[in-house]
Amino acid sequence: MLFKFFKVADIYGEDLTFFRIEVQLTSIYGDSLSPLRFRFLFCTTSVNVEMASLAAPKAISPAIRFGRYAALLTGMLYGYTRLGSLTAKEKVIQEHENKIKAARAIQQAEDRARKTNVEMQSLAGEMGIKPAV
Amino acid sequence: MAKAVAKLGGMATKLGSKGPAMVQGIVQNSKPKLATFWKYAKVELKPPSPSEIPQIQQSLQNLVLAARTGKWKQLSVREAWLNTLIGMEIAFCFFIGEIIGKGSVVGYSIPGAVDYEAHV
Repeated sequence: MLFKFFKVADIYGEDLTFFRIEVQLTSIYGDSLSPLRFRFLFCTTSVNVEMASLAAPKAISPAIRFGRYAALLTGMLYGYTRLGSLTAKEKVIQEHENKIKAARAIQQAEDRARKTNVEMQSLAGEMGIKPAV
Repeated sequence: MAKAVAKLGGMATKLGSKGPAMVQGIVQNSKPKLATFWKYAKVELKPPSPSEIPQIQQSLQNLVLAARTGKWKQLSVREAWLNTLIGMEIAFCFFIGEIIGKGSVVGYSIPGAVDYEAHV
């Protein structure tokens, strides 16, 4: 990639900076077959800005400042307590669901074992082999 | 592929060699900006001191009085808009506080409350 920039002499107290950017993209495999080339030309101007133009800090009324900080602290308290209450509720739900999951897992294992046994018996019958059971 | 890896390696070594200088540059550049920020924050974001409590009480009483007597109907639209913005700002402070209190930006992160496993 090529970057070229050069400065034009002062015009009316501003300086113009010209940028010319040439971009050449090759494929990611490193060969330069059919590269894409772009050229951009743009210029920027800079004007001297004095920092004194920023306004003086404004005195905010104490009621508003009190309101802000009160809201911040209330929010922190609210978030923390709500997190605790939700976690406690979730513990109860988890215990209940774990019981159901355990019972279901046992049931599913039994069903699977029964089905495979039935299939194996029928296969044995088809193949003419005596079943092992 | 090899060229890309070599380029990445080159970039990493350049970052390692110029890293401390970059960090130093960032620190030096940010000092005046932090100074201006502190200049404004000292006055505008200062928490209310105990000496201002009677002032705060007076303001709240005025607010309640204005709401009760119907003085709020005599506000100009511009003043009403500014008051709305101030109210919104205070409400947003509450939400920022809630984010800090619950420790997560979006939603409460309860371990075990989300089930990502596949169910057959």
